[in-house]
Amino acid sequence: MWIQIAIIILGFLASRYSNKFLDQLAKKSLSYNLFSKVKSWAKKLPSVACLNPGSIFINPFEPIQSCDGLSIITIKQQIYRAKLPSQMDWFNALIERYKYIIETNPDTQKFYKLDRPEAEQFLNSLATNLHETCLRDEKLLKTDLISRFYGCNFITHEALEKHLIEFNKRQIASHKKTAKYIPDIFVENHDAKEICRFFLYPRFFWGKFLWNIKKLNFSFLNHLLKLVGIDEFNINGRLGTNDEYSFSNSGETVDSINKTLTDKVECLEKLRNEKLDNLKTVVKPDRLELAREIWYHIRSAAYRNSCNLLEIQKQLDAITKRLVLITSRAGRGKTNFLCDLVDNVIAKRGIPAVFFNAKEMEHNSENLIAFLHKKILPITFETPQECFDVIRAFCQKENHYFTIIIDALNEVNNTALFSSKLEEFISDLLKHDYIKIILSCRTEYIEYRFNNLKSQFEGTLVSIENLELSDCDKDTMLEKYKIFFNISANFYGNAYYTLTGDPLMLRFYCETYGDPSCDTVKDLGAVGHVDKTDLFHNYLDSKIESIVLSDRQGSGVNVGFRKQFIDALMNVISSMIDNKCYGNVRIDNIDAAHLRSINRLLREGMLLRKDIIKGTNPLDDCLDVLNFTYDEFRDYLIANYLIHEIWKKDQKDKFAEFVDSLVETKELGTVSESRVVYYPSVIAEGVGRFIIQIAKQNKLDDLESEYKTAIWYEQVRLDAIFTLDENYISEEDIHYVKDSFMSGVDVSSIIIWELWHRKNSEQFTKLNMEILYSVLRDLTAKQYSTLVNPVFENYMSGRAYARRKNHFTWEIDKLSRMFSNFLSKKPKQQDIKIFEFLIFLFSIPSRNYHSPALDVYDEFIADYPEVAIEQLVANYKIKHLNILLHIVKKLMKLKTKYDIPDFKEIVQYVINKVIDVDENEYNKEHLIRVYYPVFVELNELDDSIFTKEQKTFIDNLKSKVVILDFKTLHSMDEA
Amino acid sequence: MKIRTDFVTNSSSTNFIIISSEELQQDQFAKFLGFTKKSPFWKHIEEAIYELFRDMSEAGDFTSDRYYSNAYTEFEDFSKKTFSEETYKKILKARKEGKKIYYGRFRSEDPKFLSFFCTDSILIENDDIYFDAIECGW
Amino acid sequence: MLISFGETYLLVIDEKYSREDFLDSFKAESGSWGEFFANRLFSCLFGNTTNLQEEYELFYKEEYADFSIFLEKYHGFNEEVITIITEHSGSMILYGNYGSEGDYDTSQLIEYNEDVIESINEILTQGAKDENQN
Repeated sequence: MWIQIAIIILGFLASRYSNKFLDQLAKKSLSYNLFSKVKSWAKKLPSVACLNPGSIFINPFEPIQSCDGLSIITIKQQIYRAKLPSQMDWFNALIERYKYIIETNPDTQKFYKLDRPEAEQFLNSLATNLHETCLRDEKLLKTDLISRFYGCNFITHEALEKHLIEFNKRQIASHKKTAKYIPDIFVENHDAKEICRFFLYPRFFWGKFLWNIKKLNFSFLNHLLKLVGIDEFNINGRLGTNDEYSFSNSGETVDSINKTLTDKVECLEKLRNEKLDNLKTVVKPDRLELAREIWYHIRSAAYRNSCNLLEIQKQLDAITKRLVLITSRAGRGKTNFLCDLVDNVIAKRGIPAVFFNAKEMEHNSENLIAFLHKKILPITFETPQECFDVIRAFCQKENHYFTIIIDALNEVNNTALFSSKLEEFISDLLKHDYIKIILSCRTEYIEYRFNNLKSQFEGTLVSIENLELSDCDKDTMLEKYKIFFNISANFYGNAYYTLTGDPLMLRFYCETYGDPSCDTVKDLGAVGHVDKTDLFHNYLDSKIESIVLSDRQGSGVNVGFRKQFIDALMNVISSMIDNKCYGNVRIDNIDAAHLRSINRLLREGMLLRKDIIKGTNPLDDCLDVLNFTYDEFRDYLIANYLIHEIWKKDQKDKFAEFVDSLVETKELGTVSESRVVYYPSVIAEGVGRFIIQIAKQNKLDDLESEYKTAIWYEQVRLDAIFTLDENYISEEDIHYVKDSFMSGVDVSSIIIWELWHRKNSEQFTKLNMEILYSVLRDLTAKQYSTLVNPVFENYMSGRAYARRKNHFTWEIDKLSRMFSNFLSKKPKQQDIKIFEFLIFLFSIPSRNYHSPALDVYDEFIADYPEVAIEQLVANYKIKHLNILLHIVKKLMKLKTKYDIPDFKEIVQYVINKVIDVDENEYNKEHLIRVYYPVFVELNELDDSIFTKEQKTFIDNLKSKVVILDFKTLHSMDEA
Repeated sequence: MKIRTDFVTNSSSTNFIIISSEELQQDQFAKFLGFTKKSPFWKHIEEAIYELFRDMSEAGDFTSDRYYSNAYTEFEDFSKKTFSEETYKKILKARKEGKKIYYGRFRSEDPKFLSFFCTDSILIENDDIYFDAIECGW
Repeated sequence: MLISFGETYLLVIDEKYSREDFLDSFKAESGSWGEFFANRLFSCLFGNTTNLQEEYELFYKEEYADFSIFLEKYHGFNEEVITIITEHSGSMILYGNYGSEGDYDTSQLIEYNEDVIESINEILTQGAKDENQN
């Protein structure tokens, strides 16, 4: 009873005093007795007026009074001041002192720079008294009081630190609550996290940078350089510093170190790229011969060391740069990455930072700086500068940067408007040299909406474009998911790559087939393929089932509201289709009958999420809208709705209209010569693919004709084919795959990858590696060089330095190593078929221009000669003459021990290929030189193997073939 | 050492020359390289030297078809075109002095240590033996 | 002890282990090509390696509660490797990438030949034995 009365009175007083402090007390439901004490104390407060030394004298329990310029004390406040000495002598003295300082030095306006200990001492004792009286958290109370007494721009460093920690903790907790961040299943991306460490905490990681420099070892390179009389290459001790890193020394020191590193890398690059013809200008004449001989080693050592240096320079770069932009596709773990960074790096190392979602900023896009102040500090300021000064003082004291982390730029509703505001905001922030910023955004949004960020801040930007885990880390992630969701399964082939390659899909899969709260482990056996239509169907079922179960437990009602959920979802989908808008479905557009189910689904979190957007009408307040958490799932539902609710219900026109609407246009060119380009809309890829799949699975031939002419069809068809169950793949589909291969490396790489995962020809009877082999056999060397070689090329070592690629890659070294490991495990007869793939990779060089595939295939020949002969013979009609050369050489070697079927026919085919070679395709002279010794040896092996004409051809070659000495070879190398 | 061309080849190889005052013995050569039987690497070097001796020939027995597809008719011609000028002069001098000259070729397919010689560039010399393998060809 | 896995390896050795120990155990004649080779082998193995305990103590102790969590999460080592490392807590653990020092051929000689790794292990343990005897 007393408590209730107290709350009412407190409410009244709070409104009268408009004071947060009282308000908070009221909320705490203090007893009336306690409150009377507080109230009587509060009444005295006008006489304990507080000072904002900047300009005005403030009563903390009354609205702030405005004041002109630097006139310091109002008349009213002077009256308060007159009363002060009798109550608190010290305060008067303090005011006099501040008045003096402020009056004589207008620049010294910031209270926190003044004599803080005195002020704090008093407030602390006051807080202790109050603490004893009302039992509030003493520390919080001190913070409260300090900020209230000394105007709003006062906060202790301790309190700021605590506020930031609490703030970030709350952000992380909310992500944990919605299960967007589950630490148990998170696997860190080593490279990205390390770069962020250097970025966030330069003072500390400066030490690691120097440590890494010290670790470098150039002894082998220097040994080689000594041999040819070139000065030793070194870097230790030349950086000119072992100093600690701080704001004050960061500029010049870092610049000079960076320059040294750049010079050193250039020096190594020069060694690496030195032409042999030019060596006479580099080494002394007496070392020239030797230098030519061993320059290959120097190149290789210089290359490797420059990679090492570049990697370290990237760390230095992160130390000095001010903005990190993390981009990746949806569901690749950007939010998880940032949560982990905040939770495990920022919090544990005490780095000042704030972390929030871009959506939180959107309502304040007109004044982002003001929004930021509210986020960063628990108190308000007169001007932004005051807030920045507080942060600056804090950062300087700790020698820290203050980092502002904004997650998911793409999640704001009006990205077009927001992006320009964001640019201004970042520009403003970066004017303060102690502030750093981390942004994350989906790749496609960066390209279309936030592209300026990259160009505008290029000089100070670190781009993290890939959060993809290493193979080993992907395995760890899969294991963690299995343990967390109580699943036992052996994922292989396509299923393994689908699930490890798409964490969001893995999440759906595990939620569908596993259960974290279950006591027993569900055994799924061997899983080779993930059928997404099946997965989504089951996912929906299991989700609804879990809702039904939990609600039954709770209230024991609502039997059969399964259908209600489906209907509610379909209502959302239908609203999307009707409005041709696939995100932000207004909740007030949903039928009232479905709202309950929708709210229940929202509580569940995984299927739907509620967002808030600003209304289009300026008078409108914010609107609640619905979105699907996983776009692919939404697309699945749309496709189902279109087929089952529209097409099957004879609304063919509506269906056709929808299919046509999956296209967007873009005008390109100049005013006089513009052209319109059509491209699939954002949802065409997903919806189109599911329409194709559902049509094929249900043998809806009539439906197929409806969408086959659509503009998006060709662009989604390949994807649809590869996600289709094998039973539904047609001859036409296979032809389509083969034709598509020729269109470019972006497609050929996907086909290689997809077919590789269908290597089990018993499971995949139609679309498997045989299809790939048949395509590869027909490629010329030129086609190989554009469609196949780039897929397997080795890129620069140092993961972070991989050249930016627009296609999927698979380094030949890694692939060969995998084959070699597989072979060492003595594979069974039925599993060795896949080694045939290596034949098609004979022409792919590794970093040292050696063919790793050839080496591994030699090992394979030694273990399984009969199978190897079969595979080699099956491919002798390959068009690529370098590969053919190796096939013949291997068969020739095998011929001494084994019977090779049709050997003579093969040899004759090969020589005729060389005789009739297309000189546009091959350098004939070169070709002859490599084939000639083989022909000679074949002729020696069996005199009757060549026809008379062929023998004459070989004899004629003899005069043309010069066995090259090393100088000629080197000059070829140069060429 | 490998040479880059349009064609990938794994069969890189290095010609070598050994000049010795006396007829060369395997143990003597191992000692010349600096390996003792106590070394944990002895078995590798022993294997390599065994292979090397099995495959090398004396200059006097030069046959042009051995590795060179009849490209050279004489040992002088071969060594002049294959090795550096300095090495070639050493070979001529050694011939005059009646020293033993051996030649041969390391290939990258050879057993491990031998193939290491192929990829490395080696020139070792003392009063009795001269070993030069810093040439490259196919 | 040299433990090789894929493109990377660990060296588990005594903290005081030096180039001289390695050369002593290699037993090549002083000034010979063999000694030069042993030196090259040592540089190739020990150059550019990371001392894992030192790295943890200096830079990552605040983030990872203990050394094995650091090995698992930061370096991504599997359980087997972590067990080996933690079993040798008294030794120095160096972590390296084959060829990172630029000596491609020597690193290939080690990486692809198990019996060469065996011989290197003989050399490394020889040093340890000598140490114990002293």
